[in-house]
Amino acid sequence: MMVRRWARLAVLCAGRIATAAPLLAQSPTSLLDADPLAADSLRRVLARAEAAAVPLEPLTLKVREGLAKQAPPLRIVDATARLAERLRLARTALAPTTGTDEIAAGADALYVGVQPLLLQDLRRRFPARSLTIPLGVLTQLVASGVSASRAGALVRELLDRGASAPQLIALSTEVQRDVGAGLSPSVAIALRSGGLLSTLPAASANSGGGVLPGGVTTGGGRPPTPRP
Amino acid sequence: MTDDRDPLTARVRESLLPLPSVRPTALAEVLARIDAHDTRRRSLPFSRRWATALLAAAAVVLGFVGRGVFDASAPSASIATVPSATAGSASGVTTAARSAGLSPGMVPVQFVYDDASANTVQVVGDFNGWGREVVAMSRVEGSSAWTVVLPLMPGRHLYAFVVNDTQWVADPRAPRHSDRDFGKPESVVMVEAR
Repeated sequence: MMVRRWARLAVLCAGRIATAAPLLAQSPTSLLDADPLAADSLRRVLARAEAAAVPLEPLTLKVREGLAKQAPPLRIVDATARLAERLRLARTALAPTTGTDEIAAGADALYVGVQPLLLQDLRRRFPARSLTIPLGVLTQLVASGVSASRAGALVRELLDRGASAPQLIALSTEVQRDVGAGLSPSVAIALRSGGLLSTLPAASANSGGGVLPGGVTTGGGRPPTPRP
Repeated sequence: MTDDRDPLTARVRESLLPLPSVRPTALAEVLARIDAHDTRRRSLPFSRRWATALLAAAAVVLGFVGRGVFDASAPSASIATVPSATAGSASGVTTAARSAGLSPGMVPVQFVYDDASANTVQVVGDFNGWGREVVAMSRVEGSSAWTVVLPLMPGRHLYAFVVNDTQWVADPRAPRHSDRDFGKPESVVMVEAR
């Protein structure tokens, strides 16, 4: 019985994967062709983004999201323009990376209220490490109600002490679950981060400290960490 | 990643690549046959059950091959092998392709939604280009639960369910995300790398 269910799931999954591509072949501006004014505005947003070397894929995705949610065309353009600005800020803060996933993760963090300075600090401290997952965790912690400065300092400390991507994600999930169960975000983050930090080695000796404008604490320099 | 120097891999690729794309009706036929043979399969020996499982795995591989996942000629596990992709353009192909099933780092994630009144349930999210026609969930027999398994990149993803083609709902089992852009309910899934 179990094998049969998995067989059904696998066949469905294969079919979904194989038939997904054709839907994805349209350009974002053509998606708004029914509204010439909106299409023109979107074209300008995309042109500006391209000139600023902002990755266009997340912008396309935003247009599709708006269409799927049946938003009015001009609202879609507005949301896309705001995302383009966040992507531009994230790209600058995370330079020299040009990875779309990482920049998009940075833009997500900005969306929930993280300051570009924090992204810049993480990049400076971890120049060779992909920050896609750490930034996703940071975003989710802030979205759970943890303050951006507290979450930023914690993610930085966890990276300093060698926390793995699965450990970071598990922390985020546990905090979310605790908050859902009624704990305050500050208690949940203290509880869960304490548990995780107790299992990690001490931070490297050259992790100094400091405070960035806006109350973001920083550590000192750290040798590049290999990408996971 | 595949290795074309391996003769077995090369033969599998040769036999699978020319296959036509999967038609929805063909899927229905396959599922109908699975149903028709249900009784007989219950009495199958253990080894035959494993054969069925391998067939299912082959079906998944077939799906990925159809999307170009195992094309070893691709420079990376990203966009270059997607059918109908426009290389280097700003089309949605690249984003959705990378996040919907073309990377070796993908992790299978099962979505579950429970709704006795639903006639159809689809999952839409950043991983499938928010294309709600694309990923229909299937009802688990004898229950009100709907499910689908999708390969996702590790990280944070936003998604929602579309019930009966009209009702946009967040996943009650997952954290909510505040959608200030469009005001629709949606959820977050954090995918762990394996």
